[in-house]
Amino acid sequence: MLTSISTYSLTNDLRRSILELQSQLNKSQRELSLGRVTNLSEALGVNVALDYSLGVQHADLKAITETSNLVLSRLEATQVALTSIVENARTLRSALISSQNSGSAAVLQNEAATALTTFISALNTAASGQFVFGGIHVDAAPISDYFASPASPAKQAVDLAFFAAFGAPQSSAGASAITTSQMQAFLSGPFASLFSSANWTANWSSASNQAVQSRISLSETILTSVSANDPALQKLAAAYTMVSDLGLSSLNASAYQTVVQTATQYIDDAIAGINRLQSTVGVMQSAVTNANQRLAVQGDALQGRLGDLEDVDPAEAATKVNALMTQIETAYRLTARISELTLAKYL
Amino acid sequence: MTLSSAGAVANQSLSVISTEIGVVSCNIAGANAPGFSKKLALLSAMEDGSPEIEGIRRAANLALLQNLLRSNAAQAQSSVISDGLTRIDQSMNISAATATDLSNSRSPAALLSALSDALQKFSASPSNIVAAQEALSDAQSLAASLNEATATTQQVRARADSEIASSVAEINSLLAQFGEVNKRIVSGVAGGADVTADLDKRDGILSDLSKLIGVTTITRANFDMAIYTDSGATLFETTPRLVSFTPTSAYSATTVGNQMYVDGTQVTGAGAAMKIQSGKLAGLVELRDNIAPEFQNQLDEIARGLIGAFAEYDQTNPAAPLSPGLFTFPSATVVPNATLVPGLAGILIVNPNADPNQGGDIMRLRDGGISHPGNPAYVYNTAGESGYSARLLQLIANISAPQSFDPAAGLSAQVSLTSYATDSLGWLSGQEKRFSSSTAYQTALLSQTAQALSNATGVNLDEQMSRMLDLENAYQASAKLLAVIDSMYQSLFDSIHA
Repeated sequence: MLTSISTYSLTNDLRRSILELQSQLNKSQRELSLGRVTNLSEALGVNVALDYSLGVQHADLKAITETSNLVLSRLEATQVALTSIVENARTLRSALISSQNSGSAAVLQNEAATALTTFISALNTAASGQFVFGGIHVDAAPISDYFASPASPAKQAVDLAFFAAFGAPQSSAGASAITTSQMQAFLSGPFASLFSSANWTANWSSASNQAVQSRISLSETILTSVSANDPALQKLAAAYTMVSDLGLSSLNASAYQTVVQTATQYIDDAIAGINRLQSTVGVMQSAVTNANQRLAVQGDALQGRLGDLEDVDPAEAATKVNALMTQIETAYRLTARISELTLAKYL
Repeated sequence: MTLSSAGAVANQSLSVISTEIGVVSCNIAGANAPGFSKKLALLSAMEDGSPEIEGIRRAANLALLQNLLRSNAAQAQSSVISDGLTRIDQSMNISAATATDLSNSRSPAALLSALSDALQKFSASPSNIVAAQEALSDAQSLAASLNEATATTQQVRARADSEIASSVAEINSLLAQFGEVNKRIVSGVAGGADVTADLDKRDGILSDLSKLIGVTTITRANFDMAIYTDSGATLFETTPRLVSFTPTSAYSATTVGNQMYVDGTQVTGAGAAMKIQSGKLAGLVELRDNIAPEFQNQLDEIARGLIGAFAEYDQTNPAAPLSPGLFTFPSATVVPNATLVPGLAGILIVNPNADPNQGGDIMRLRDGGISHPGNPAYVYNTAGESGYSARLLQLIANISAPQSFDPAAGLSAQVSLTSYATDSLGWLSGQEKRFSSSTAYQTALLSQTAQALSNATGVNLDEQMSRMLDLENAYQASAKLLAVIDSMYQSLFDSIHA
């Protein structure tokens, strides 16, 4: 028996194959221009879960990298401030060493006052909207200006302590009568207690002892700040105050010596402590940098896996588009020619 | 045989040929009509040897027709489910977006990731109100996306319900039409009339019917046909049976749709004695009662997981129950435990206590105390420090920490909220792929079956044309024969007159 084809299915078939080829062409052409699959669900099915979890992780890494860069810039600002603090301390220390006699007291006093101001402004460094020495108290300058007018609480406390000890204000004529042992007792007693933790936070600093916490990778959260309440910084402030505000130029030579020697000793201790702080900040910096490097590697790997899932091979897509165009042209020709093939034409 | 009987035969053949030409022209007219079957004139010889038209038959192939009915039903079933899933997908822009850049996706997974990233940025600048606002607005987008996904899922169910209602009405009207045509066929066959056009029509109705509901047929004496659903319930036997369904207009997560009855027998739903297997109706019921509700359950679990991850506890009394924090729902007092709360995703809101536009304080996001404003027991940042990030970091950790989910929603029960949200997308996409590839397969199969049926029963124009040529020749020969007989009689009469 002859197998026959009906005219309806013949013409319908041609029409349908053209429509199908056209929709395939549209899809391939979109794939080619986007460089990825056009329909995630159709291409990946249940693997969309994997695709999205990779995408979510990738976005997380990107967000963490962004915030880590912010943290890094704060740590850098901290490091710069600490370096300048140490440098200033060294400068004043040399000045102290070379001014063992009281001749240059006024100059020294001025230098120390400048150093104290610079010190305070370094501790009040702000980076990207936060005061870096404030601990988690980030929205206010941690140290108030010592030489402000009206007098700062820190200065008032020093004045009070001095008056209480010697019965005369600094730089008054009576100050020249202070003996070495009196001065020593004052410096190690009332003056030192002005820089105790409790008095420091009461008169000098509004910083918090709690350090800032930062999440620097998917699983690591570290502390990323040092506080203006560090004992080394307190000690340096004490040294600066001693030289600048105990009326150096009015003291007799031996009391002057005592102050200068004690200040030198304080500065030495402070520098050692600040060096430790610097290395602490350095460790934080390297932790963040290392984490960032790991995030970059992880991010690249994730990007690669996302690409494996979603991307189409551009060469393959281009070939497919070309092949489909040829096929469609052939189908057009065939349609035209087959519709010519009818017995009616020859009757 | 006499000359006059030869004339009578030739005369008869002319009438047979013209009938046959009628059949050919009818075939040519119907050549491009879908479902038109090729008609054939049946010839037989009479006692005197002259041809006679015994009747008109049509080319038919019962096996292929049954295949077509089955293909119709299967294709309609998967395509209607695929459409519903695509609507849910499009409302969240999953398939058209890419996971490499989540910003174009409106899915809960993508927005949850955006919220977590915003919290990360906020944690790095806890005093920054802009960062806080960003986190809050991401939280609001996430809540809105869950609300919208719920609305879309319920719309898909409501639409399926109304489509079931309209399909049921269509089935009833098709069955009534079928009844009339069937009656004409039975009486026509008994009376010897040409019923081929009605048979084509009846096949057409059957084909339409099979798209709506899977059917099987039985043909009996006089071409009488009975229709049953693919599960065996009677749709038509001599008279049409009533298909009934009571629509439900509004759908929420807890709404249970009504079931469909054929001739008084329940044919859809869990308790159905004769459950239909295929056709658009089977697909719609599957979508309305199983697939969409399952996705809704997953959305509700995501919402519940969110409330849990952002919950706050009384720090003076760790044993006290958790209170809903940033994410909550109207009149919430405690955090729901790990069991499904139907419809929760539809009513999830961002707590007004954290929204400055509703009289809240945005910094509660950082400090805690969203659940009980003014109650210091729920404040985490007790010192009120502007650089406090511990609570924010805790929230980020909560999002990615494993928590318990209700296994009733069909996904893993012990995963992180992030994984749960992506798993849910994977589930949806998996269903989508399953039904779209099955639709593609069924569509290809359907067109092949339709083609096979058309080839077996349809018209080939060239065949009809050549048949026409044959008939033309035969007509000429018969006419010539009549002319010869006429001239023979003429010469006979002439010789008699002469």
